[in-house]
Amino acid sequence: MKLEDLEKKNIYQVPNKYFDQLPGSIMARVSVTEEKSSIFSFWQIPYFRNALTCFTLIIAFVFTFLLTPKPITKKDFELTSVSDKEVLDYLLQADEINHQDLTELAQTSIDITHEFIEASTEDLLQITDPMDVEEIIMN
Amino acid sequence: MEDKELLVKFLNPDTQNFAFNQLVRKYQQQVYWHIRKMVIDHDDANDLTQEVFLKIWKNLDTFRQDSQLYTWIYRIATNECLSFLKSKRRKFFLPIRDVAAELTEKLENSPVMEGDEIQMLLQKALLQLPDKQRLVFNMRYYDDLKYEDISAILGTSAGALKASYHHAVKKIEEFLSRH
Repeated sequence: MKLEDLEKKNIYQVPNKYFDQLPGSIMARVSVTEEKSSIFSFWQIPYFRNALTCFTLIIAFVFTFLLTPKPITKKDFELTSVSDKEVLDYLLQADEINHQDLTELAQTSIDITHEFIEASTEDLLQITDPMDVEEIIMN
Repeated sequence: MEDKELLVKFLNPDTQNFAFNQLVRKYQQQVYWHIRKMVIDHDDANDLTQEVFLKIWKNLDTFRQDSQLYTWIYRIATNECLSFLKSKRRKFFLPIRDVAAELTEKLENSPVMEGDEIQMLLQKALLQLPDKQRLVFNMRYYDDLKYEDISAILGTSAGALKASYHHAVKKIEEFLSRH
């Protein structure tokens, strides 16, 4: 079947007097829209929305990061209970002092070695690799 | 009243309502039937037609007169139809065929001219087409729009529209032959 053989017509129907009433319905909705938009609102002031948004964000930032008291963490609590000597020992260890350091220290400043490390030259030589000691002496 | 005169009167606050009322009266049937053929149901078509004219009211002052008013109005109506059909699919997770089935059901239940089975069959054939192809077919076949005007409405080249229309006609004729 060819399309051109068919009569071109609109088979749909609308309610009686629909097109007489439609302009009235549309104009009524337009009036409502106009009334809504004519009511004064701060929200309609140019830049007011942006300014309000920025202000809200700043307030939220202040409350979140500055005014909220920092809770004492477990780490803070543990540090307060550690003595100065323990901290010093920790720092000495944490400074990655190796056997070579100790050997050098023993040769350059014997007093410091005895005072802080509490180890004798013999002790140090016992635990130090002889190869390292030789290297230090040669240098 | 000519479109240019309507626009001049619309931009004057004293005659704005009068001009818009005239514009609605002038274009209401074209807009309504364009939408009705796409969404089938009268209530949906009525809602969308009113939405289209509200959009026209809000944006008419920004209308650039380098295009014709009726192609601009058609474009708004077309976008409303496509958005409506798209949201229908998204809302109900319906694939294309199911929306076509739903529209076919509405077509069968809507009050149409009795004893015109072949015309009803043609409408069912149209519902098998993709939305944009159906739009092209309706604008060319029923509204007698030129391809250049359809091109301005849909933003598609006239060549592509011609090809789309001919494909649509072929599919419709095949459907009519099968049923």
